[in-house]
Amino acid sequence: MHIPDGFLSPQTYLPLYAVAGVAWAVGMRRIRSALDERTIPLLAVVTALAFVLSMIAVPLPGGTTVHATGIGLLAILFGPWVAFMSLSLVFLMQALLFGDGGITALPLNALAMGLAGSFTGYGVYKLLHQWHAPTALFAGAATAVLLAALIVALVLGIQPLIASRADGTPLFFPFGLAITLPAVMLPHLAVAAAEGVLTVMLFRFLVRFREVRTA
Amino acid sequence: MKDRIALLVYLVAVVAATLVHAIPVLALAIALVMLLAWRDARKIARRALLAIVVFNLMISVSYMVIALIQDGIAWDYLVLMNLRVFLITSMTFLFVERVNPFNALAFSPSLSYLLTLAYTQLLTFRRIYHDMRLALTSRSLGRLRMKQLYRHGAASGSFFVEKALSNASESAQAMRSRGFFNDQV
Amino acid sequence: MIRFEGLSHDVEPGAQALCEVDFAIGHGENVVLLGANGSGKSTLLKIVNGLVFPTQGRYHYDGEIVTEQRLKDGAFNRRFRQEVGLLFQNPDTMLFNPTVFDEIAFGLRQLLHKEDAAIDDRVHHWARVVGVEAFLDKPPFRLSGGEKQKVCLAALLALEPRVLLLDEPTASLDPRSTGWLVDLLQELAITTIVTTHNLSMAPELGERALVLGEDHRLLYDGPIEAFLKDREKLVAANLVHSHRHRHGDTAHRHFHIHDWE
Repeated sequence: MHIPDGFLSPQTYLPLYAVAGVAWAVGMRRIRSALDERTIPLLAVVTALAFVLSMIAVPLPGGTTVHATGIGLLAILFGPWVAFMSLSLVFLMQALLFGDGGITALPLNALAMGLAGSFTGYGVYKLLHQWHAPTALFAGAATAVLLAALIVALVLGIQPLIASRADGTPLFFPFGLAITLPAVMLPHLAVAAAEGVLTVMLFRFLVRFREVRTA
Repeated sequence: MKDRIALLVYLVAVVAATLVHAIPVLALAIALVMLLAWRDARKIARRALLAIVVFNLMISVSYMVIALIQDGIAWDYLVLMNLRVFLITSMTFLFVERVNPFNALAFSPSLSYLLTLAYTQLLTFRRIYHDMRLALTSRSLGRLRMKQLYRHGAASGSFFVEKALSNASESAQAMRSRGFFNDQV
Repeated sequence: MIRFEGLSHDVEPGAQALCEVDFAIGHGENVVLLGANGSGKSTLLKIVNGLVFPTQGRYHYDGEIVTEQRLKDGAFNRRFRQEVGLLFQNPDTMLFNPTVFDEIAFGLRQLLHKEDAAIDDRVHHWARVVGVEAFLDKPPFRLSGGEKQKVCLAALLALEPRVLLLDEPTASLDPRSTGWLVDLLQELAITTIVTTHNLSMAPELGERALVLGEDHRLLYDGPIEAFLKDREKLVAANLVHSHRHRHGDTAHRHFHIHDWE
């Protein structure tokens, strides 16, 4: 979710950085204990993968194109912690290396997409995959996107509540929940569906045509 | 070391830009950033403008429409918001232009190495993906159907997943042979 | 048929790939494009294939100026894409269909508009020509580098193009397949532009050489045999090197080439 810097108040992003910081520390410890010396090489390549997945553009009925996020896919293939750390690194590189900005949106994106998205996507997939694998993949990928969108919509929507002047004029993002929720969620229904379809097809390619064994 | 300080200054400046709500101060800050940019000022200003124009226009126009119906437009909000976004975006572009981020993040050698490794692989992946899109254009006689575009996306994505799975094991071996893990053994 | 007029191209502001390149290639000519790494060979091919558009100058194809705008015209795009094919250096960038059959049929299905017996015949024909008929129902991703390249070639040839562009085609081929490719190219009576690093292979791939220098300008345009005998030009193009080495008992240095297989 690319929001330029200046729309989130410090009352938002500073605490979010604190929470994200704890999550990163926990994530690093978890991954290291599982992988030890394989940690850095794996994170590096999954970060590169996450970046290139976000470059893939697919069409929506009606003519627009959207970019994949890869959240669900990464969580299902590599586990939610690796997905979280890699996605966080992608956001960091976009902010400081590629000049896409977003240093204030980073903790929100990391927590919404990287953490909440990954864990939910993974969870939904695990719940359903014994029953019907393609549905599990679709649902996992779509839920990840929708939950991330919901969190971002909520955080944006409360900006006028937590950061306004005494007379009520906004200082950062100007719209409340009544606007952000539909404005963000409705388009993301389509994005989530597209991501779901793409994820199912990608898995099919992996398993049937590239003969990759998945966990 | 210089880059690390620059990073700190940048971060503090960004936070400061979100703590100040006076239009003259923000305007002054923008002027300061352009001064720091010196010869690159025009380039940075143009880039920043291009980066934010679509989103900001959308928010500004929506705000004006909604505010018109409700309480009336707070013009100083519009100016404040757009100045703030332009300021932070310009600072970001100036930072990216002047500072080596790998040095700036060198306070953590693991992070620095991780970023370098990720970056080199990322560049390769990006180049290959660009060629994949070009190859598709090259072989398309007309507009492609949705199914074909999704198939191409899935096939391309699966290529990189497969690469990622095999690269990961290679990197670990190379690092081990260079003694990177010796102190962890 | 293919003409570059004062063509320059910057990949990014400040990063020049080609500088004031002028040449004209006629029907049926077989051209070898030579140049050191980074001299702009791949970019040149991409421009000829209408994938990249020059920052200055003009590219004429069959009398028409090829621009991004021109290719938005459906009829022209269709004709152009069918007539000019590009074999990318890395076959992995071209393969994206579930089976070799689908890969070769991809272009045909767009050309002939439906699942036809004609498509089936042509796929089998071209698969046979390149030698991948045994793999038709297999996914292309599992094949060896050389086999992948053959699948890509079949996919391009199935459209019966008038111009075939090949970017370092011998790079991933073993010696036997290289010989096969040379024979195939000589049989096809179409215009070809082939890039290669391999100077000893170069005369087999065409009669005429276009050589890009490290300054991204055209260093030479003429018969390939004459170019390969011109040591000065070879050095200028950074296509030969010199270092100490041995011949039997004596050690000395002189300009020579290695066969980069």
